[in-house]
Amino acid sequence: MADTAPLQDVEDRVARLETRLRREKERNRILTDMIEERTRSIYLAQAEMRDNKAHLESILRSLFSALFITDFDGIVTSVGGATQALTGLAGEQIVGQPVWDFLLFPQPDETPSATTRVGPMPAGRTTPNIEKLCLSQHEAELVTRDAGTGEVGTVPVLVNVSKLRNERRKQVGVVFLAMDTTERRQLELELRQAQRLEAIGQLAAGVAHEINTPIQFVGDSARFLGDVFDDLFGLLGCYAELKAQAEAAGLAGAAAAVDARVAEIDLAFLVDEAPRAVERTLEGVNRIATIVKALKQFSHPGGENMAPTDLNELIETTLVVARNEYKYVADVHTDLAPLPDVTCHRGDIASVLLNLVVNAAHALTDRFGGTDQRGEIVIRSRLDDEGAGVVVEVADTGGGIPATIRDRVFEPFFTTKEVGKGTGQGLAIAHSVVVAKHHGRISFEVDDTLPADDPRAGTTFRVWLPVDGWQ
Amino acid sequence: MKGTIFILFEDFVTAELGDHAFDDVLASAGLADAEPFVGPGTYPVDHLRALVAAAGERAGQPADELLRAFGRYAFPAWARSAPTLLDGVVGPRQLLEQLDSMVEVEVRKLDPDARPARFTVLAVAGDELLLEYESPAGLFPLVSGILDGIGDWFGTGIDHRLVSTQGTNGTYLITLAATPAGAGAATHG
Repeated sequence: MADTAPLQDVEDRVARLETRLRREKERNRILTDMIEERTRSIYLAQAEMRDNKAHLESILRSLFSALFITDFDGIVTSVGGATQALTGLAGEQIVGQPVWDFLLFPQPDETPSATTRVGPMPAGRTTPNIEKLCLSQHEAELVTRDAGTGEVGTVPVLVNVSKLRNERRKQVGVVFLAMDTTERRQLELELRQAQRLEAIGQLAAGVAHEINTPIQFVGDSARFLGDVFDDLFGLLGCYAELKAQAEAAGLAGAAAAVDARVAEIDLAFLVDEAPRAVERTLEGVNRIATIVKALKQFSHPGGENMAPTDLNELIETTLVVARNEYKYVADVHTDLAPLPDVTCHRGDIASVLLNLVVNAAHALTDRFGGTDQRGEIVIRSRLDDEGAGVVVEVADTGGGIPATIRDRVFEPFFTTKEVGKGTGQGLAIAHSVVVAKHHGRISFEVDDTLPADDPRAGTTFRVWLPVDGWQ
Repeated sequence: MKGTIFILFEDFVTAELGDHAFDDVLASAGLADAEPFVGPGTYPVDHLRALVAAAGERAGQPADELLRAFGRYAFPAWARSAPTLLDGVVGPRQLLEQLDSMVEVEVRKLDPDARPARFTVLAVAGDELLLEYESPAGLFPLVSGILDGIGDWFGTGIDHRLVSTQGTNGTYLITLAATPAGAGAATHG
């Protein structure tokens, strides 16, 4: 018995240890399986996160918006989206800086368009209150830097400001998403310009209609007066004969009275000038009628759809409407080849031609205004070599466009004209109408072989429009 | 309930009741044939209750008393097993304020869909604070033991009382004593 007890004890201990060994082996197996499964889950989760990240970045890039993440003091902690493409600044140039150095919000006393500051926030300028900015949209300016020249500028943006929260809804930062609104603002301006032009066109059409009726009876009356004068002058011949006979019959007193009256009214002058006055009146009336007709044609709104248009007729009409702009500074010549009708938005193309002619006239005014010299505007039209498009050229001898600004000519708001004379929208809108709306082309040429002071130096704008239009 | 708690309980039983005690406790709780507990696993809280009851019976101690003793044992043991978790935590007040996020991270890193117990500091006035405990398990003695263990870890007394309960949730009034100079996690590394 004494020998059995220790043996039993050893067997119990071995059994317990075997039990524990089995449990530890089982635990090891479970942990191994678990590690396998968790590793797979982590891999799949990471792959999904990478996909989601790429997906989100792709969305942000497609928005073409600048994305700034900041802390609660507005210090940029990271950037994303199209920030670099829009600002021209690398992420490391932005991170760590106040977001206010890159997004210029209007000051309380400023309108958004008055926000033109560029560079670090100057002393005295109020830092926007982030809390107040959150959960709403704001118009602002995004600071840009040209990668090539280093030139600093701004573009208009619409900024969404929102709180960045983690999974547990705790606020961990602020998100500024700035969407470039240059194109939208341009479209709004174009719309306003188009609305203004439409209103002016309607007014002009109304005025033309009102003038048309009286000018017709003024013309009719002038022609009637011409006929009356012809008859009266014939009658005057009879009266002269009668006066001679009265004189011969001893009525010298009456004849002398007639002679005195003839001398007093200078009848010879009247007989000579009255027909000319009627002629000049009719010429003036005809000119007014031509202008009225041109105004009516020019201001005709046209439909929303493109329609076959006689471009040569449109050019002639444009020249009539714009005559006041060039008549003192330029001689205008046209060289218009026979053209097929071009399918286009007539009113828009009329605006383009008017812009080109008026710009040419202004260039000539700048060069020759106040001198006794005159420049020249030549308008040519032709079918292109393939017969697929029509080319219209407006050439002037206004001295040409300086090389330094040639790449900005079609930029919105760019103008070299004095304040009040140009909005900088004319050529930008012309470009938009020709290229975007008609799938045409617009370009210009300056003959740099001529010195700027050469009388022939100038600019030729060239518009190409597809004959069959583009819908 | 996370397997980590069960592993700590196994260690606690072995330390308090002997090398082979846990085998007997498992058998008494009817879990001898269950899969062994692993840290990342999740197990029914009733398993813990059964184990506590069995261990209490073996120790001749009421279950709630043993559960509280386990809590007091568990916190320092857990803190020693992952010392970096308490980096920068200088006292019990700071720990209690961060307890909820710590528990959440430690539980949800293993199971993102888990709903761990919540610990929310409701109010602080001087050395007193109200700590709300929310859990479907309602393991109040375990929480009391953990609070004891936190006091032990930082070498300072924590006086606490469960002042109200609502179902399985409860609110503790905790009075913190000043932390002795030099005390803190670093002294236990």
